Amino acid sequence: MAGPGKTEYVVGLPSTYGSEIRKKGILDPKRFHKEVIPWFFENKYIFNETNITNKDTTAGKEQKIIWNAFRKVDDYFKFNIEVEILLFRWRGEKAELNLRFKGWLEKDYMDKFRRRFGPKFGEFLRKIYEMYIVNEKIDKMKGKVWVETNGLIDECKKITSSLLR
Amino acid sequence: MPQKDIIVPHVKVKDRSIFSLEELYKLLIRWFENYGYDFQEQEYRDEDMGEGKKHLEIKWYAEKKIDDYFKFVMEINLFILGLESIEIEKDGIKYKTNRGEIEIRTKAYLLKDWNAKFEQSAFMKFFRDVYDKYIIRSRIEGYEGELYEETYKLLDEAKAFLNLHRF
Repeated sequence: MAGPGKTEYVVGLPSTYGSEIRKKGILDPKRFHKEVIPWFFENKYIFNETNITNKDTTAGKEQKIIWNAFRKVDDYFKFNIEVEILLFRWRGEKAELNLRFKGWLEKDYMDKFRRRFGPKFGEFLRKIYEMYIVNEKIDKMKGKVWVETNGLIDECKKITSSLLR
Repeated sequence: MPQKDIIVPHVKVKDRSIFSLEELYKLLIRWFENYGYDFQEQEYRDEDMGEGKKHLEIKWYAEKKIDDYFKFVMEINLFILGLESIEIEKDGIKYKTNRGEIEIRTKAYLLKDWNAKFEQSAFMKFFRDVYDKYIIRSRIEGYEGELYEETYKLLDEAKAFLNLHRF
């Protein structure tokens, strides 16, 4: 887990998702899995499916899945994307699907400053470094992670036959 | 907390006709890109109603950073009811398009002190009020006017598209 001041959210916030797709109707959840997951590998993300919960209810099956993916851009910056997939009222071909997305940039994910200079001085130096030396690079990185997160959102929209930019 | 000056509280464009939703959707997104807004689609709801019709609800959030103190913000809600894909013929050429009812609701506001620089203490908040009311008042009024114009330019773009693309 990144320390304070090391994450910059571009889609959503730590406690809330920033973009949501809801689809109600005929859809094939298995196709969704098959066609979206390759996006992560094509874009060089390390992908992890966590937190799968299944429930049978009178209204149909329910399934909740969290996808976490990250990409190390260099030894300082890391892109992170989180997707929450909620399938409910799933009976045969018909289901309701909720997809929620978060995307953020993680800085100094190897904790270099703190390890080398100690917690307080290291943190001070990190802030100076980010404010004055790599500030433009941080803006570019934020732009890139925004583009990639929205690229994934568009990929999910293709599967749900939704409008693309 | 940043201060909001609501410039356009609630304005809507409503139409029931034949139009290409995909083209309208892309047109509006391009408008935000051309005017320098950072744009995020917050919600996209798609509900099949059967008989080839669907309801869509789309929420957009767009902001433009003016400087370290001001941001322009627009919140757009698109409601599309009874949307269906149809094929029409005009001048001997067949077109795939849509039919349905569309409502575009817009809210626009000026965000001041978006960095929350003046939130550090009660004195700083007081100073911000003085700063806004007496020091940069004319600048605020200028930006309010600019945001008002931009919001109505966006809506005019949507209205022009819906009128122009009538079949």
